[in-house]
Amino acid sequence: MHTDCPNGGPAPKYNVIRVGLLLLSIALLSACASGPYHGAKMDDASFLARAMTQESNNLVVHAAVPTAQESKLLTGLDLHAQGIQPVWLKVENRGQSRARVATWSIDRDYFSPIEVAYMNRKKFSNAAYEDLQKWFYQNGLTRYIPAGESRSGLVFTHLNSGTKGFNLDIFSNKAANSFTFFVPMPGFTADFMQVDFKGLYADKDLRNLSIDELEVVLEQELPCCASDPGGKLQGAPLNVVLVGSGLAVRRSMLRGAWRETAAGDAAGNLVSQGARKQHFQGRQPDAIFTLSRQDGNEKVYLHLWLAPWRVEGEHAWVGQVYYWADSESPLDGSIAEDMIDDLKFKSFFARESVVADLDSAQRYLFQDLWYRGSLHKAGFVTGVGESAMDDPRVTFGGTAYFTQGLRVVVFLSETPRGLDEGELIYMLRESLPPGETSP
Amino acid sequence: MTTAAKLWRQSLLTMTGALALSVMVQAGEARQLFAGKQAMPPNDRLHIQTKGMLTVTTAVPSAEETRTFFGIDLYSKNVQPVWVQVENRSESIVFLTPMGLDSAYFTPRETANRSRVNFTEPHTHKFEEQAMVRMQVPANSIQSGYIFSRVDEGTKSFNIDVIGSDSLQMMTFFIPVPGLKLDHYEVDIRGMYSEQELKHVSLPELADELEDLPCCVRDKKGENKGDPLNLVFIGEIENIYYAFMRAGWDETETIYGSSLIKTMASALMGSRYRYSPVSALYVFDRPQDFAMQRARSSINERNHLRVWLTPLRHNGTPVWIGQISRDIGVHFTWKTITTHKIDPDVDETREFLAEDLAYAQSVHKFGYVGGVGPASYDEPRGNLTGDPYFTDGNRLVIWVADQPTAIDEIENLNLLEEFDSKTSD
Repeated sequence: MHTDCPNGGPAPKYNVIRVGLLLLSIALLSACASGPYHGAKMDDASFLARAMTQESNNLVVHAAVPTAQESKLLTGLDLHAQGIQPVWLKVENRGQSRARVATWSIDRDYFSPIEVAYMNRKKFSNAAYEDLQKWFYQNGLTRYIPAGESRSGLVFTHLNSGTKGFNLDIFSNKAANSFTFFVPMPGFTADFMQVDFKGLYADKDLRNLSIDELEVVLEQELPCCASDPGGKLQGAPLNVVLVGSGLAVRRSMLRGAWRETAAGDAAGNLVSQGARKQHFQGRQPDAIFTLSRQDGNEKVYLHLWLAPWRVEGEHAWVGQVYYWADSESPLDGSIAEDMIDDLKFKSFFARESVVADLDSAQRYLFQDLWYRGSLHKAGFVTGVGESAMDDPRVTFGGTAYFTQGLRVVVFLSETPRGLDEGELIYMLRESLPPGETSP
Repeated sequence: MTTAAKLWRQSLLTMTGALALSVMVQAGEARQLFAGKQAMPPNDRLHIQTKGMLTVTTAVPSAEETRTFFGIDLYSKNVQPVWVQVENRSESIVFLTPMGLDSAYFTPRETANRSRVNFTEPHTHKFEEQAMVRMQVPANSIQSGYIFSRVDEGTKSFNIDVIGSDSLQMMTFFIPVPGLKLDHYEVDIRGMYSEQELKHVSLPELADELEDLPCCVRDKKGENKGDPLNLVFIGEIENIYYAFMRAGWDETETIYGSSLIKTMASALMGSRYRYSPVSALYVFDRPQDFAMQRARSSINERNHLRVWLTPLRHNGTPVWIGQISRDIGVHFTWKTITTHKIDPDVDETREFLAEDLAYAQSVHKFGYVGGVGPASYDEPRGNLTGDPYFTDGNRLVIWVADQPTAIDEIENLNLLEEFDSKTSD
């Protein structure tokens, strides 16, 4: 075959339209780029030095994640620009039977190795593409690991910014082992990593609460809302309480694909700037997590502060949950000051905006934790106070909102629990007596 | 009762507006149920399921019915309302969770934002008034309303989960929605083989029979061999179908003019036409009995599956054979101008499917048999469009679960003695 393009297609005797289309396609795809392909040797990759290791039931898993630049050095391709983030894994099977890595558990929409190669074929001649494809095929992680052996390789996941958190299930006959990795990425520091949690409260200031005492504290002592940075004006309601370790919180957020927020993340992100103005115990949120809709511009925000309590020995977190929608710019809360006290505008905002609908965000969080297996016990308590749509309360930032006035309380589970393993506490523990529901 | 319980009950009472008592007759016994918020069903295609003291009734309006009812073409905004009525005759409160119906359900206000023209006219109330906003359904009460989900054409499949303090009731609904002509409705699965043609086999016989089935699909003339038949399902059609729906696969539309136009448009524009038709491939001298697809991020990144019923029956259960491919892009051919490029690592695609169904809690047990014949990376075989593929030569056999099965309950059958050594290279 000899055409202008090395290893391009044959040319003769086809009708003009087809040839025209094909030439056009070739021109569009600039398929003539060429050059040999040389992937780097996996074992020499410098990022492997950052590998983290976990061990469970005769399985040892090492995990490392290259940065954008390290991915490029390794593969010669700008994978991050294509939304692809390779994860390197090594699995040692010290058990007696064959183990199977469930690639799906890391990312259910992972890219197959040859798929990644094929996506990048246009830069290479056919001969060079052969080398490219082979490199990806040979460096992909195989699924089966025979007893007493180990395997290593790459899994091609969807890129996410910040800490690379992922689950990994390895199973054998009627058994499964679950691992959760949070691999820190150079250049990203989550907000909570800069908080000195141990130094936040002196031992003498910490209160130990039972589940029942927590209910009283939440209904009668905890203020309804956060404050402004000066501690004078009322902010958004404190409508969430989580009980569990920091790790339990992180795992719960990972299961729901919530995103961490970079420390000092203010530049260009008006919402984060606003979020950091919400204060509790005289400080901005210790952690902000966000969850974006894939098919829209709505986001759910969750702000968390470590509370000065231990509930049944566990850490507790006070929080705020609400929706945000970029599409609502005329309604987005950043309104002229003279509008803030305009009752008509306030109630219009409260009636129409997704931002104003705090209880829907609270319901979403409650279900998200339950459906992702993070919920151990949950209930609702009062403490926020009702804010009516017709005469809504307004935060110091000018956002009107309505709510029934309840706080959701969730005791988190570190390990995934079935939907039927959640326990309802507080008022939901009691069923209403028959007849009481009649008018 | 705590303050919270009182407040909560009060708010439940106020939200209902005019209170009414309805008399429900259940099992011959007249009961008075507190009537909570109500919305009228959109049509009379009601689907009813009862479990214990709980009755759930659902209905799904078509695109046209939705437009008539809400005055807006919600389907075009990818919003599909589902009407749900819950009758709780127990003495305890239960929760109806919209997330069970659709993990990315829309709140009434998200629905409003997808259909509003401006931010000056009131719009939200159209959805909020009809919606099932609260999750709580008190003891001895009945309530109904809409949950807003993403659009499924063809068959709307969803779960209704009702969670109580000591109970979880899960009901799965499959509701045909008018408007899409789907290929598997055209196939008479039950009448495909006569009783004489059926072959009832034990487990060892099954492995032998499966190895003897054709290696690969054929073209219409039956001349050229194509993609390998590397999947076997053992299960009733309903369970197989439920399994794929739970794992997020879509049905396929029979090839008609309009669907081809939709497919071409989505290939060019990169949008997702989830039900685009698949071409026919042949086994047992007939095209696939049904096909499913799962979109990843564009039409060029999809997994396709084609399935044929075999004459085999194992413990009375139908045995199916199938072929799966992973589209990894488009390439240009002289024959058809464009065609989907498939991942030549067909075993990778096969194992993906095993995991996709396992995580949908739909795999009871699995194992491998031969029958495809191995082809190495360096000496691949070719399919009907000239794409190469390589394989260990095995078929994955999946016993499809008839009830949810967690991944740590899945049984791995050793149907193939030498499997360990083969796959461990």
